[in-house]
Amino acid sequence: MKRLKYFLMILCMSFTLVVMLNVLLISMKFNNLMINAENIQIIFMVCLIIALGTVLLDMVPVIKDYPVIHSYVLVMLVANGVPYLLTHEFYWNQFFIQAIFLTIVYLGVWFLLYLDDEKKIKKINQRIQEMNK
Amino acid sequence: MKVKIVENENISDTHITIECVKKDETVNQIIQYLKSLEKTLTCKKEREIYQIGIQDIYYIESVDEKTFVYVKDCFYECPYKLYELESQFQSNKFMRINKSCLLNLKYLESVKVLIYGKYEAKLKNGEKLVISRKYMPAFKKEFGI
Repeated sequence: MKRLKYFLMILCMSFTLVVMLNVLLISMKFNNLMINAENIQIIFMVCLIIALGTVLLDMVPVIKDYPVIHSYVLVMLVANGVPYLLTHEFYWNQFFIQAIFLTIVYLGVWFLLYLDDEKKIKKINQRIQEMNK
Repeated sequence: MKVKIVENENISDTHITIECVKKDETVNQIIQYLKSLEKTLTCKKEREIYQIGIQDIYYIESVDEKTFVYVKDCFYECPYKLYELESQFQSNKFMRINKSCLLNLKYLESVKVLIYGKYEAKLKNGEKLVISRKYMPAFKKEFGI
């Protein structure tokens, strides 16, 4: 039940965010994509497989210890593989743009999480020092 | 709270008297802590049986379905399962830090963030243990974060 909730949360949040980001880019005329039934279907399939993959990989003993790396590889593979399988079209320039964008997002999120953890660990170490006095 | 210590060479055993208005939660915690100081765990090492004081244990680890108890500079084998010891030692500041390890917070020296999303606990004897992501929320809660 906990895993099903986790899976549904990833699926719903990622699908909503990707659709909203596409709508935003289209409205700002940065994106030549159209929001049509086929594209929404592709976005849904990508989000579904990523959510399923994330939940399943989180159950594999060694892999689950490296969540940032496995989710990066999974997103890169699925985001490029699924559209290719459904449309039989592959654009290298789009692949590189996605790779660069995703790397920036992952590094940014990882760095922010690291900073937040460092802050919390500093507080924990202060408490430990107080306890040891 | 005032603490008064009276040294008396004429008595053979230590007596502790708690004087309070009412026996509340704090008093209960003090009693529980004092009782825990006398708790021991039966362990073995090279076919010899030892009684290890709970307060001397740095951490307890489960490896290949065997449970090992680590004190300052040596370790013993224990007949109990890790989950049994976890429920038994909860009041003694023992905490689960990963799937196979129970740490005595009394011997924790510092914590460090590792780059791949895990944490490392350094003990007072210099040993380092990994705190997994799963157990980190409870660990932070223990320190009021």
